[in-house]
Amino acid sequence: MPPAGATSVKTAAPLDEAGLIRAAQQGDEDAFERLVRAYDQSVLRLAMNLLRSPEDARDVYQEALLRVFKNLHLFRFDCSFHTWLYRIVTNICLDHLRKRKVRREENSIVETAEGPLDRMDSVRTHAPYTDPERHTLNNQLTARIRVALDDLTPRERMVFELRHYQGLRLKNIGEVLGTSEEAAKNCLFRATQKMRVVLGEFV
Amino acid sequence: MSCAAIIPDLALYLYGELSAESEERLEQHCSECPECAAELQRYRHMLQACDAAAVPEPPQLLAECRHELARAVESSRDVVPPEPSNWFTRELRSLLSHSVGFRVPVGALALVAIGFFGARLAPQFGSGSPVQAGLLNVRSVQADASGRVQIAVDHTRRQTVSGSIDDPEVRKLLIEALHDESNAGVRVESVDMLKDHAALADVRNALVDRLQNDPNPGVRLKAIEGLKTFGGDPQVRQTLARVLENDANPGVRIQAIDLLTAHRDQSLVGVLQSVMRKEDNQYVRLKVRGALEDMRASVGTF
Repeated sequence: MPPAGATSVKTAAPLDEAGLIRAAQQGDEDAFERLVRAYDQSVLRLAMNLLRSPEDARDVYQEALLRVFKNLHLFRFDCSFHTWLYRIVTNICLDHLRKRKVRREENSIVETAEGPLDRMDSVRTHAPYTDPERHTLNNQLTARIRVALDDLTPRERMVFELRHYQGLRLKNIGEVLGTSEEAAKNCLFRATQKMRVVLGEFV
Repeated sequence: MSCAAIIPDLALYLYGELSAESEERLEQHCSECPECAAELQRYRHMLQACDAAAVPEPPQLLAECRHELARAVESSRDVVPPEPSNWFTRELRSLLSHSVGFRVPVGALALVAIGFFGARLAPQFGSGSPVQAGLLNVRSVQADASGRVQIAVDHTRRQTVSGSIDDPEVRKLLIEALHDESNAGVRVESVDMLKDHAALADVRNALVDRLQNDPNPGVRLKAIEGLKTFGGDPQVRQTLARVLENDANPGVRIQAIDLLTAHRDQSLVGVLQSVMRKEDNQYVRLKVRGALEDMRASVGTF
């Protein structure tokens, strides 16, 4: 099962990336555009899959890549450009996820006669954007997986996203998130274990 | 090994993120314990089902985002010009900004300096019009009362430097030449001269950089050849793993496998498994499979 997006890094290989970065650092906007195009689809996919909202994904894309443009002169080639770019993107996505989590925790629990009820439970199973062709027998499992993903902490969700959907190795994930490979490994373990518990007999 | 100790490793095993030893222990345990084997199967099913839960981006979204970004870049350009990363250009720009009167001499001096370090860039001077040959930049154009025109032009000057490759200045120029993007021939020649001196850190770093970033496969192949005695160096190994996963040229990927597998370590298994998942060249696959089998690691993770 090749993870989705696993080939995204490969598209950058034929480019003379260092040359493009240097040119972009000197203000060459064509070079900047070519550089961005090697990665921006993965960036958008990451934001869309994490936030499940085209508007939020658009905001992340815009904020992240504009930040890249404005700070490119600070890039010193001491890590890969992909890692540097993903540090920016994942920080912005984590902020979105954290704000969303706080909002959800503040607003979604309502007291009822039967005890507290999470209003999001009825919403989560319907993603804002879904492909109608995917409405098969597995629909229920898919919805359940989305609930399980929502229950992860922002950091666990991010590690799972980067490993499973973006195909990054844990070592690289550690570099992106400013932590060790071991910490990323623990995070991935916690994420998958929580999902396994939520999914129960569904799998 | 107990079942409780196996559970935390199930997902990591499926992602190919376990060491060869742990992987082997897990496989051994699952072959003897039907419960853990069934749980592994459930994890596999769960992770496969996660693919279907991915939320794809709407078809037009990427194009819209790119368009908006282009507009945002354009409007921010006037506000914050990106600072050049190169100290030389930065210094030059700051000097130029101080006084208009200094522009011509400073510019000319600077370009003579570039001419020294970058003689390879200088076009051949013709004996005739300077406009055909060394012209890089027109600094000013003035007409006097008699109708004569004075044009201040900066141009580079060719200079020949000769010496042994052991001379740091000569090496520095050769390493500079590796970045001449306009001339792959110069890069191939330079990398060929440098490749037998990878024991020197500056040369090795340059070879690693070219192996990773040069658009020309000939340059990358020569760079990898130069690194062949450094297959055990962690920085080189990291680059080789990246090359094996990402290089567009199968010949370069094959060299990378050969070099990587000459010094085996456990982290290699994950890289090779990852390559098996996306590699489409049969010969490269064969090599990777052979290496994994030699290391007694599983060929696939799913």
